[in-house]
Order: sequence, then structure tokens, then C-alpha cells
Amino acid sequence: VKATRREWIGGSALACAGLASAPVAAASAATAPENKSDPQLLSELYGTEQLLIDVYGRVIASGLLSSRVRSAAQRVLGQEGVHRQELERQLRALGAGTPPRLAGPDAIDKALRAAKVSGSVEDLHSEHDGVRLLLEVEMAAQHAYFMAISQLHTGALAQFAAQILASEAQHQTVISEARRPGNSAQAAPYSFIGG
Amino acid sequence: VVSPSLGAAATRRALFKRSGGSLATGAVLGLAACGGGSRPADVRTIPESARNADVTIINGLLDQAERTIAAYTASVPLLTGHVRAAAKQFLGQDLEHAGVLYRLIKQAKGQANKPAPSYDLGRPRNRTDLVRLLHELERQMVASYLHAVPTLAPGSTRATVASIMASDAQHVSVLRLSLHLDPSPGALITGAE
Repeated sequence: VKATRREWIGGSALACAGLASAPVAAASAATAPENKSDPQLLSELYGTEQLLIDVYGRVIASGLLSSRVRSAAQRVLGQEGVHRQELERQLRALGAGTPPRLAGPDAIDKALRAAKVSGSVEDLHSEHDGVRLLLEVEMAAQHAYFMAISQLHTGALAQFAAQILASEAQHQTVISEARRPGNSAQAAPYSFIGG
Repeated sequence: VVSPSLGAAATRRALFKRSGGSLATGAVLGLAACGGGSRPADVRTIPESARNADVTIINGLLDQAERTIAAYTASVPLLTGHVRAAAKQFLGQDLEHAGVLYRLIKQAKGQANKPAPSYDLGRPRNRTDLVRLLHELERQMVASYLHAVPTLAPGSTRATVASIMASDAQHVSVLRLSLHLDPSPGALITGAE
């Protein structure tokens, strides 16, 4: 059995090279085109957190969410606020300021499009729309953190970003579970987060 | 639970066969997410001493992943309902994680550790004990990945390990829900959850 398992695992890395190399390759490709400073990267992540906060706020305020999903979204929103505070603290420690906040729904939707999120805070008609937008923006945030981790020059900052990446991954699970309890296929659909 | 047992071995083979199918699906998803056309990390630019250190660290992570895989393999036949479905899914994902760790070690010209012949996983007496065991192993994995991130190079390796860590953090959340615990107790993941 041991040999079989080793062969299977080893074989999976070789035979499924596309999968095995996917997160590695994505991060490698991300580092090639530009060499941003740590304050630049953290500033972009601050913008990502700001977008998350604005989207959660708009979706919660829409009144479309059931009490169960709304409660989960409010808890997540609180944690996004902590992420933003921590990023602001790190930026200040590096002598950098924070980017301006998004002004109004048009700016939020523009930021969503830039993050390749298809939804809109001005086009919410059901809980499904709201949850879909929350999950999409969480996945966009995961991608932003994944890319930043591959580029941050300081190991401690990469670790800090990894802590938030894992938190965003849990948010995806929390929102999905609140909407469809017990559906792990939707709550944790991917083996690799952010790549 | 001591894994593998004879009964568990047969079940494990069946699970591996099934997870092979999900692996193929995962490969498609992984490639789609990356947009294709990307290239593997170039470890040749990393000094040999650093590569050796990374191999040691990643081998430690692989050892832990193997232990967690053994625990899922032994636990799945004993679970029922959506917890069983989740455990099967997480077993498949942890196997994929182990495959990537194995590949990172090979990329760094290292020798991957072999799994232990068996693992002493304690004596869980019921479903709750099993879920607690899986939760504890996943929690330990998250803590170890997080500890490893700042020590690894290049950045692509850090990001890969962080990506796996975040997946395991999702496993922790689902398992915590099964234990009626807060699925996301902290805004910054530490591995203590």
C-alpha cells in the first residue's frame, strides 16, 4: 500500500504536471513583468480590502440577504475591517500613506471591473445576486493576496499577507456555508487558493 | 486509529482511484485559473544552500500532509452524511497538496521523504472524536505552512505554500462547523484556531 500511495502521489505530480505546477507557475509569471516595492504592494492590498468592505456594506444594506447569510456577512465585514486596519498599520510602519477611499457605487463598480469581477453593487435583485457578488469579490481578493505574496520582498510581510489570504479563503467558506449549509463542494471548491 | 489497516488499505485504494478523477478536474480548473502559457518557477537562480534548506522545510510539510492524508483515509469509511462527503473531498485536495509539495522538492533537486508505514492517530471513539482529530491535524498543517512561508524562496514557492495553507484553512472552517464552532474565529489566521 505504501508503494502504491507513493507512486500515486509521485505520479500525480508528474502525470498531472499542469495541475502540480499551476500555482507555482502562476506566481512565477506574476513576478516577471514588474518589480513593485513592498509599500506599493501593501497599498494595492489596502485598496482590495476597501473594495471588500464597500461591497459587503452595499450587499448587506440591500436587504436581500436572509438573516443567516446577513449575520455571516456582518461577521466577515468586521474581519475585513481588521484586515484594513492591519494593512494601514503596516503601511504607516513603512512610512507610506493609504490610498483614497472609493467614492460611491460607480467607483466601486469600476474597481470591481478592474478586479475582473462581473457583478455590480447597482444590479442586485436577489440573495443569489448578493452572495454571488460576495463570493466573486472574495476570490478576486484571494488572487490579489496570492500575487502579492509572490512579489513581497520581506518575508514577514509575505507571512502577514498569507494570514489574510487564509482568512479570505475562510470567508468564502463562511458565506457559502451560510447560503447552502453542508455543501462542502461549494464551500471549499478548489485545492489551491488564489492562483 | 492506526493507519493503514488491511481494511483501510482496500478502501484507500478505492478512494485514490476516485480522487484520480477529481484530480483531472482539478488540473483543468488549475490551468484555467492560471490562464495557461505560464512557466514553472526557476529554482536554478536560488543558491544550493537555500535550496537545501527549502527541501528540509518542505519535506517537513510533506510528512505532515502524509499524516493528515492517512487520517482522512482511515476516517472516511467511519463517517456519514455531509461530514463524510467533506472528508472525502478534503482527502482528494490534500493528496493534490502532497503532489505539489513533492514536485517542489524535486524542482529543488531534493529527495522527497517517504510516508511512514503507519501513523498512530490515537483512539477516536466516535464521530466527534474523528472530526476533532481531522480538525487538529488540519490546524497543525495551517500553523506549519504559515511558519514556513517567510523562510522559503523564491516568492513563487512562498505563494504556492500560502495557497495550500489557505485551502487547509477552508478545511478547518468546515470541520469547525461540524463541531459547532465558529468557522472563522479570527481575522488573521495563526493556526491556533
